[in-house]
Amino acid sequence: MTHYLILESRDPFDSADWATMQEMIINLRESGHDVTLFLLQNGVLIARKGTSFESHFFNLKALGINILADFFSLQERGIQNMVMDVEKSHLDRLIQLCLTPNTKTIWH
Amino acid sequence: MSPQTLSIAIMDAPYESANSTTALRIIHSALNQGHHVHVFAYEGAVNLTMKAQAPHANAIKGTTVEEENHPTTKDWITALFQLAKAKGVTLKWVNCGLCVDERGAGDWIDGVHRGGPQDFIQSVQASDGVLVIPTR
Amino acid sequence: MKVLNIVETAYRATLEEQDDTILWLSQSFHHADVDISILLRGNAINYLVQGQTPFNLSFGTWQQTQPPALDRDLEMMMAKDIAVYAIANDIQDRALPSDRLIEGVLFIQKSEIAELFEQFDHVWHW
Repeated sequence: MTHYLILESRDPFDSADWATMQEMIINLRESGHDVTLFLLQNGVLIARKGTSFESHFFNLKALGINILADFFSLQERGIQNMVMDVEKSHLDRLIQLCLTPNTKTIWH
Repeated sequence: MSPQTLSIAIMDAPYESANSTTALRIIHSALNQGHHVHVFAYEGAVNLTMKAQAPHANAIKGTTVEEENHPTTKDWITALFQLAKAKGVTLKWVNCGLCVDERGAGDWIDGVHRGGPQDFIQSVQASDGVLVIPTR
Repeated sequence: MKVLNIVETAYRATLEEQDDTILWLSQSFHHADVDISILLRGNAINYLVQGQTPFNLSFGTWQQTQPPALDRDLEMMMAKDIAVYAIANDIQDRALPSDRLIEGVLFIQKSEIAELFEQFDHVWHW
């Protein structure tokens, strides 16, 4: 099985393609692969608690998709109350994941 | 932990996208963790290493050149080369030659080399992880 | 080494580059003996439409003599055995004229993407 590391820099408010990429992520997971979704830059905007995307993260987590958010990006945007299913992380972890064997890293 | 190698392709010019800073942060993190990094700078990213970049004052904020301490990406990348040396790992930086030519970006900081797509492929073949950061 | 290059952004600097620079890069990879394939998605799907003829670009007395021809570039790539995939859903969404699409493209549904990705050592989204 492949590990797919999806680096999501876009957000659904600005990018119509965000939703298509989320479908792709679900497709990868449902095909049996490990998937990590790493939010960074404006991709962390929906990690803020209270948006309509909270249930989306709940669903991804229920599928077994690990969701991480770059702490630097969160701080930069003053995001303090986070969606429960998104874990604060950092680029050191991103590097570790990217260098894990059998990983395909895709930036969106 | 023995060093691994990360290949990264970047495309964004400085001061135009959040991608540039994130890419350099990623390179910093990899070097800091003791890994080798091979960078292929394509298109606008070849402007990141231009020697002629200069900081400036900020009249809107009322700061002098010194006070503003405005970053230049060539200084950031110079610092990354120094970090690599301090950590005993390699930072290899290749600017795509044709991209350099069309942008007039050939006067770059020490450590940078001219190359092409085949350099990226050779790096990928020798790497443990690969990251492509596209531009929009 | 098998690589899938995903092209999504369309018409970015194609006039001044006279190429889509990712299609160009992909051909460079092909020259470097990479087993490269292309997946067109999003707006890049419009590259499949035949007869894209930009007006001749000119500024003062400067005239462009080599305008981009993205559909023909893709045809040339397929002639070199570079597989070109495209997301069928994106074509339908954009109402591309089915009688004016270049031939030889391998259409897949969004639901088949995972299966496609698994055929490659690397998947790079440009």
